[in-house]
Amino acid sequence: MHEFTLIRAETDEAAVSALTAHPDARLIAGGTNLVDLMKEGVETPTHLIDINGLGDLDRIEARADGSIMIGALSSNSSVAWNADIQSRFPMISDAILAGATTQLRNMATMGGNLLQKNRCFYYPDHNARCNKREPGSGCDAMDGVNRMCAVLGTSDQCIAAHPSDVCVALRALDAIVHVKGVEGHRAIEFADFHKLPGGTPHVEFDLAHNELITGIEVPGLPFAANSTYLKLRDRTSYAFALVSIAAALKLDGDTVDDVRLAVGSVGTVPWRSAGAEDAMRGAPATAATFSKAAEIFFEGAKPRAGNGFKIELAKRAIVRVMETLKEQAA
Amino acid sequence: MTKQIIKMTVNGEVQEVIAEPRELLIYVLREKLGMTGPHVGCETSHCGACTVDIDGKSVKSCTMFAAQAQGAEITTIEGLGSPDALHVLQESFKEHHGLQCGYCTPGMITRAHRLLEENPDPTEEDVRIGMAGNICRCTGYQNIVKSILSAAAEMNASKEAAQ
Amino acid sequence: MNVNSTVIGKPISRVDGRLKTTGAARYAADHRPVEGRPLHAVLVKSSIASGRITGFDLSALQSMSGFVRFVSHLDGALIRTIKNPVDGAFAAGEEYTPFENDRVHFVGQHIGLVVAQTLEVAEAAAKAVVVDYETSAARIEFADPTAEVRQPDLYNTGEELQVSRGHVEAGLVEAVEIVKATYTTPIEHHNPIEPSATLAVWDGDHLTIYDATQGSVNDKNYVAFGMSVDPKNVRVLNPFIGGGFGCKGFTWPHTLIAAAAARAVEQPVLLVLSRKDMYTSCGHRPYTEQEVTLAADADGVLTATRHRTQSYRSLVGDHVEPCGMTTAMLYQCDNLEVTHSVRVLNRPSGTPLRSPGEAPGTFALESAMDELAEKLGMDPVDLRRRNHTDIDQRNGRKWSSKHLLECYDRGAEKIGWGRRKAPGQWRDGNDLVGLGMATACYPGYRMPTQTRLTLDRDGTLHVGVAVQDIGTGLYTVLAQMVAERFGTSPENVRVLIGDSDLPPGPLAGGSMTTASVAAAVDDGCRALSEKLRARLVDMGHTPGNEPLVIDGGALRSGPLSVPAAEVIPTDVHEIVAEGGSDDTYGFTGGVETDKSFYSFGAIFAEVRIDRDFGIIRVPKMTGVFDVGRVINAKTARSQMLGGMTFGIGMALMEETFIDDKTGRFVNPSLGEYYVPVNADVNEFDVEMLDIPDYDFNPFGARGLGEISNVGASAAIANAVYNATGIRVRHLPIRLDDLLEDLPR
Repeated sequence: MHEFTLIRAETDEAAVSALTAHPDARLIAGGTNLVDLMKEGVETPTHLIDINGLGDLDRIEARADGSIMIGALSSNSSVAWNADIQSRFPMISDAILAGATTQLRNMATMGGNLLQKNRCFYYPDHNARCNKREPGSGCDAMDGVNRMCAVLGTSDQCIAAHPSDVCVALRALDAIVHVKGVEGHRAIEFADFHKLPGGTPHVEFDLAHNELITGIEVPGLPFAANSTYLKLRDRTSYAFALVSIAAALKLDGDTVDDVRLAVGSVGTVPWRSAGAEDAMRGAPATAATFSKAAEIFFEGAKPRAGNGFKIELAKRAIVRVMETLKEQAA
Repeated sequence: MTKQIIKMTVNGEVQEVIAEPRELLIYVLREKLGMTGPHVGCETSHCGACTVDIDGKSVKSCTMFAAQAQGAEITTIEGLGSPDALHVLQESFKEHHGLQCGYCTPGMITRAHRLLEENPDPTEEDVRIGMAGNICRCTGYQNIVKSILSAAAEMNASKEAAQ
Repeated sequence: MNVNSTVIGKPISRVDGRLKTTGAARYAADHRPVEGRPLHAVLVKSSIASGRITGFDLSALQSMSGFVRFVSHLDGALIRTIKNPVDGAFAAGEEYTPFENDRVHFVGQHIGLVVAQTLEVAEAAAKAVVVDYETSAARIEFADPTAEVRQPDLYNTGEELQVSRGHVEAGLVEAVEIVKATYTTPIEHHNPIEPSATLAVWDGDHLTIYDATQGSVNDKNYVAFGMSVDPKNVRVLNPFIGGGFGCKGFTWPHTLIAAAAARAVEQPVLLVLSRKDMYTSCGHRPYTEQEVTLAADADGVLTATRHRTQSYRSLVGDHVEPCGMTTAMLYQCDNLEVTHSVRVLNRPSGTPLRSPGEAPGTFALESAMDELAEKLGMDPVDLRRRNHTDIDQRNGRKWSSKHLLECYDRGAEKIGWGRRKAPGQWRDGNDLVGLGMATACYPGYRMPTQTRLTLDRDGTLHVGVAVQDIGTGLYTVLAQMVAERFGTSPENVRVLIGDSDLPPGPLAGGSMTTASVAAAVDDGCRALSEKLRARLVDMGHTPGNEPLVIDGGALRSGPLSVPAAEVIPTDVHEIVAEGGSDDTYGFTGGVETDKSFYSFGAIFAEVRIDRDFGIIRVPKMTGVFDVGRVINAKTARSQMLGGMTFGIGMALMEETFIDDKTGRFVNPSLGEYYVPVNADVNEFDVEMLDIPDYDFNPFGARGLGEISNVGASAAIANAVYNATGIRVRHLPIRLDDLLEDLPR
C-alpha cells in the first residue's frame, strides 16, 4: 500500500478543518470499503483522518415524534440490533442483517455505508476502463460482464449498480442526511444524496470534500412498523443483492392507504418510483395492483446483455413483498 | 512516513509496537508479534481466516490498520487455549472434526467464541448465519456447526453446574 | 488384515487437531528463518495477453525506503532453462522457465519480483513498476477461428484421450431414442483458503524451502533443476498445507522465482501470493464444451455413445481437461467415440482441479443419461442399472471390486427416491421440489512410495514418508496403519511427513496418497518387525509366530514380553527399518494386472426452487460410496461432505469470468467468485460401503478425496430439471437460467 499520514480527529471541527487542509485526504471510520480500495490503489489518499474518536456520533436517538436520529459513527451492528429501530423501522434492521457478515457489520458505520462504492467488476481493476475510477477512460462493463449492473438511472458513461442494502431502506423512508462543513450544518434529502452518473459518474454524492456526515435522520412513519426487506442473491448469505426490495404498507380495509417502495441493486442509486407508489395508493390491495405498480416501477429500464433478468426478478419480488406485508397488516 | 508507537493488549499482555500507519493489524500481529495463528486468506475481508476479537467484537484484522487498534484489547486464537490446554471450543472442533486443512480454523474458532458470547444457546441456523463471514473450502461446514453447537451445550452445562 | 480392528475404520480424532485448533500448526507463510526476518516479495504480473516486454521504469522505486531489489528476465540466467518434462523427474504446472525472456503469453504472467524489507514496501513498489510492452495479436476468445486446435493423444496419466470402439453410426441406427446435446462448464478456480506461499532460505549452496505444495519431492527436484543445484542440497518442508485441490499439485513459477530471488539478494525471501495472484499463477479448470450423444434401444440399453470435448490450453501449459475418460469406461456400450481437443489461447494455464475431467465430464454424461431416461420414459436409476457392467469398457478387464448397484439401492432408499414426481409436479408452498441423481466414479491410483519405520527406547513407533496432509487426515491415517500392524494405539505412533528429506512418496493428487502409503507402510512394518524379531532372537528370546505387538513400552509376541528399552541398545537409541513399494497403478508403466481399479458411488440431491424467483437450495444430499476400506470413518466422512459441498459450488455458483477482449479474469477475489458459505449447506447424508479392495493394496483402501465432487453437479442439475421441467446444460445454474420458464 502507498504511504499516508494518519490524523486522529477529536472533534467534528477538527475533522472538517483537516479535510480542508488536505485536498487528498479521506476520512476513515470502519474502513471496510476504503481499506480494500487502498489496497487496490484505487483510493490513494495522502492523509487518513480517523474519526472514530468523535464523541457523540455513535448515538442512536429515538425521538418522541417517531423519528430516529442515527449517529454517523453508529456501527451497522448497533443499528440492526437497536430495539427502537427494530420496532419502528424493521426494514432498516432487516436490510443491515441481510448484508455482509458480523465481522463487517461490527466495523462498518452508517455514515460509511452511505459512501459505499459500487461493486462493478471493472471498477477496482486498473487494467480495465472505468469512467468512475478514471473519468473519460471508457466503460468495460457496458459490453462486458454486466450481470450485476444497473438497469435504471444508467448513462452512456456508467452502469454500475448501487450495492448498499441499508440505503435502499433509507431511501424508502425518506431519510435526511445531516452533514457538517466549514459553513456549518446542512441537511440533505436522501433522494438527493446519491447522484446519477450522467456524464460525471465519478461524482457520486452531494457532499463536498470537506463535509462530514454527522447523522442520518429517519422521519417518523408509523406504518413503517409494517415493513420488510427482501434480498435475492446468488448464495444464501454474504453476497451482494441481485435485487432487493424495501417496502412498507398501510391498509385501509382492503385498500392500500399508504405505501413505500424502494428497490436495490437495479439502479445506479437506490431507486424509488413515485408513479409506482401512486398507482398503489387508494387501489385495492391485490396482486394485480402490486403487479401494475411493479410494471410502472421499471418503465424506462435499460437492460444490457447480462442483466435483463433483474427487471422480471424485481417485479416478482415487489409483488411477493407487498403480498407479505399485506398479510402482516391484516 | 512517521512511524507510531501502538500500545495494545494482546491475549492479556500489553504490547508496544512501532508501525507505519499503512501497516494492517494482521501483519503487525503476524510479523511483529509472531502470532501466526490468524491467517491471511483473501485480503478483502471475505474469508474470515484473519478474524480476531477486538474489544469484545469479531473483526477482520486484514481490513483494519494497526494504528486503529491503539489501546484496544485483542484476543487471537493463541489467547483462547494452547495445544496442552484446549478451550472447550478447540476441544470440540478437534473431536467433531470441525476442520480439515486447518487454515481457516483459527479465525473460525475465534469467531465461534464470540458468537457464543453473543448468543450462548444458538440454533443451527443462528450458527450458519452467525458464521457467514468465515469460509471453509474443505469440510462442507457440517462438522463446524456440530462443533459449535456441542461446545455451546457443554459450556451451558458447566455454567449451570457452577450455579 | 484384522477385520475386527480396533484401529482401522474407527472414527479417530485427527492427531493434528490440537495444533490446528490452537493456531500452532505452521503453514508455509507462518515459518520464519532460524535467524532474523525474511525479506518480503511481491510479484509484478503482465497486463497484456500477448507481446514482449520492452522495458521497466523503476524510477519510483529507488526512493522507497526499504526497497531492496527488482528481479526480472533482465537479470540474465537466474533460473536454468527448463523443458518439461525433464527425465520424468518432476512435473511443472507450466512448461516454460520464468524470467527466461521478454515474452508475454497471458495476462497475469509473472514478469518481475520486488523484494523489500517489509510487505508494505514490496506491495507499494510492485505497484510503482511501470512496464513498457510491445503488444502482439492475442487469441483469447474460445471460438477464435485462428486459434490452433490440437488433439493430444495422452492425458498426464498416460491414458488415451482419443478413444474409439465399434461403430457409432451403426449404433445410432439401432437406437429408438437418441439424445444429442452440448453441455458447457465454466472456468473455475481452486481457491483453497491458504494462498500459495514460498519461504526460500539459502545456506551456501543448500536451499531450504517452506512451500505450500501438494508435492514436496516434486518441488525439490524442480527447484533443484531450476537453481542448478544437486537435489540432495534442496529440502522442501510442507508440514501443513491450507488446502490445495490441485493448484498446489505441480510446481509453479513462483516457487522458483522466490528461490532465485533469495539467492540473488543473499537473504531469505518470503513470497506469499495475493488472492488475485492465485487466479493466474497456479492454474484453473478451463472452460469445457462437451457434445454428448447417447443412443439406446427400447430397453434402455446403450447402442452408441459419443462424447466430444473441446477445451483450451495456454501457450505454456499443456493441461487437457479429460472430460470423456469416464464415458469411455463407465457404461456397457460397444459403439463409442470419445475425443478431446484443445485450442491454444492466450489465457493463463489450466491444471487439475478436484476430479479433473470426471467432474465436468460427468456433468455432461450424467445429464445426458437423465435426458435419455426422460425420453425413454424410464426411471433414471433403472436406466443406469440396465447399462451397468462388470467389465471396464476401455480394456475388457474385470473390476477389482465394484458395488455400484448397492450404492444406487442405498442412495435411493435414503433420499426417498420413491417420492419423486414428474417434472414440475411437486409443489410445497412457494417451492418447486425435485430429486435428481448421478453416478460418481474415480480411478484408483497408486504411486511408488518408501517409508522409514522406527522404534525408540520408549516403545514409541515413528513412521516417516515424504507425503503431505493437505487436510485429508493423512497424519491420522498413517498413525492408524502403523498402530494396526503393531497392535497398538495410534497415540503410540509419531508421524513424520511434509519433508522432502524423508523417504520419497507421491504428491497429494489423484486421491492416491492413502493407497500409496498403505503398501509402503505395510512393507515398512514388515521390515521393522523382522528386525525386531531378529534382535529378540539375538537377545536369546524365542518369539513365537504370533504377530509382534508393541504397546505399553514393550514388545510382545505370545507370552513373551520384553521392554523396548531392553531390546534397543542404549548406544543406538532406536531401531530403524525401511520398506516400500515400487508399484504403480493407474498410470503408464504400471503393474501388469488383469484387474481395473475404480471407486464408485451414487449421489442423490433434493432441490427446492422458489417458484417466482428461481433461487435454488439443496436441502438434502445423499452420497453412497464404494471406495474400498475406510481407514478413518471421521476423516473420510468429512472429505465426502466437503466434496459434495464443492459440488454445490460447482453446480450453483462458481465461475470465473474472462474478458474476451483483453484476456483478463474480471472477478479474481473471494468477494466476486462465490464459493458455498455455511448457510448454503444443510445436513448431508454420507454412507461408505466399506468393502476392502485387497487387490489394490494390503489395507484395502482406494482413496476418496475427489469422488465426492464427481456427479454432484449432475445430480443437482437433474434435480433442477425434475423440479421445474427446465433443462440447463451449463454450469453454474443460476436463477436467471430458470426465471423465464418457471412453472409458476
